[in-house]
Amino acid sequence: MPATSHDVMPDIELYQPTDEANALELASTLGRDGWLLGGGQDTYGWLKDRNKTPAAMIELTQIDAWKGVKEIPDGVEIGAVTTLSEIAKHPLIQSKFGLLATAASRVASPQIRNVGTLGGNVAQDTRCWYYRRGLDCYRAGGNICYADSPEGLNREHAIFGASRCVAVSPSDTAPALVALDATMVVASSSGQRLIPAQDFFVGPARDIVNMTVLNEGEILTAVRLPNAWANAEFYFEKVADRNVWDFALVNIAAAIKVSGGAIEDARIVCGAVECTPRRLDAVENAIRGQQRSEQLAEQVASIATDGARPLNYNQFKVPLMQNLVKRAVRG
Amino acid sequence: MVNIAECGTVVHPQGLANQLRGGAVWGIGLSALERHLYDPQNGLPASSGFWQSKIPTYLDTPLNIGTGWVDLPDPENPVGARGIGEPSMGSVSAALNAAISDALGGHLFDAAPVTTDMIINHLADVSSKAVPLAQNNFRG
Repeated sequence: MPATSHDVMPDIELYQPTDEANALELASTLGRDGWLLGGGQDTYGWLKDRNKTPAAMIELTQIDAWKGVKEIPDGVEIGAVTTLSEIAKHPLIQSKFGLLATAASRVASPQIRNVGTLGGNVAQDTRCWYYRRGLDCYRAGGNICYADSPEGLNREHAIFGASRCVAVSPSDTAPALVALDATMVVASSSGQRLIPAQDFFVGPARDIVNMTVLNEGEILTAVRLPNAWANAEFYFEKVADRNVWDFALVNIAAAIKVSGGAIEDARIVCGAVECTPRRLDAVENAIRGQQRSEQLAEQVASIATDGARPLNYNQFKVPLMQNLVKRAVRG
Repeated sequence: MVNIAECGTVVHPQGLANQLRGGAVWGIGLSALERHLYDPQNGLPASSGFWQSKIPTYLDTPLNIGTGWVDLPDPENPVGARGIGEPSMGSVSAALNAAISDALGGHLFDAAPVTTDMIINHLADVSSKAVPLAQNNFRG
């Protein structure tokens, strides 16, 4: 950690592009030095603690093309710098994709949702407190994990998919987007690529310093929700220590299509149990073709945590996750 | 939730009611939320910041907190009054811990705060496997 004064804000070049082309060009030119700034609710914590020191910032919230909700032929497109409040209250999202509206309404606190953006919520960094403290852990480029040690305080950490790093995805909207089979629209100065939400997030085995597939110079510009999952039966629940202004201990987002009383198809996703939103394929397969019922929920709950490897202090995430799956399945 | 004080002669009823409500919120924090953790291996305080040491929010407290007082002069004080700073949170903290214990069939955690993970571990019967976090002190 470089010795910096805590009394003054470090020098940062601030760029405030107002059109797409300009923003993408800046991102491409500045590369690693260009920190993408949305609502700033993740960023300002890093800056306040002086644990990240970006040389330049590109503020994305003045680009109108990346704001708002609009209908597209196959569903709905949400600009990446649309605020979480707007998404939670938007009639189109509420009526067709209530899962996302609910998830967005459960993020942090009203003040944070008023400025926090969808893009920022899915691309935010992990809340592992050792990493946030600016320690030289694996994720910060070092060669140690403080959380996964005999005395490490790892109550909030991963029960799945650990690979040197045991940090989890803190997002509430990410599981909802994976459950809705969303597509992430990623742009750069050399073009655009479309990425399924499920593949947008990466775990430490593949990339230990990033949580998304975004490369240098790339910006998440929009999220598309396909009509295929519109008006399905939805379930979202977030369990945290506090009812407001808190990160999930475990959250769950489920989209279930029921026809003729039986489950036709389902997508169930848990957050805060792994570095990426965790899709519960085994549970989905087990409930397909069945009637939604208490008995079915009881039967499949334990499948959800097969292969879980809790750390010293996060045993509780196993029964918590099973119970959330139960509640999502029984309807 | 009703927080009632036996604090001698009431000098300022409105101020006392506010004190009792504020103390109640603090008491909820003490019993259910405000952990102070320390990583003894690396010598690091883990509860720096309100996202880690969690003070109660509006939705963690009752919509209405009733207040009341006995208003019996304290014979050992020249004006009959007593302090009502800290006592107003102790009562709520004890009541909330007792309520949690009652809801869990009488189980006592012998600790405060009683956090979400402790309750889940107890109910799911994994508390024998799960190591409790050493809260508000060094372990051992």
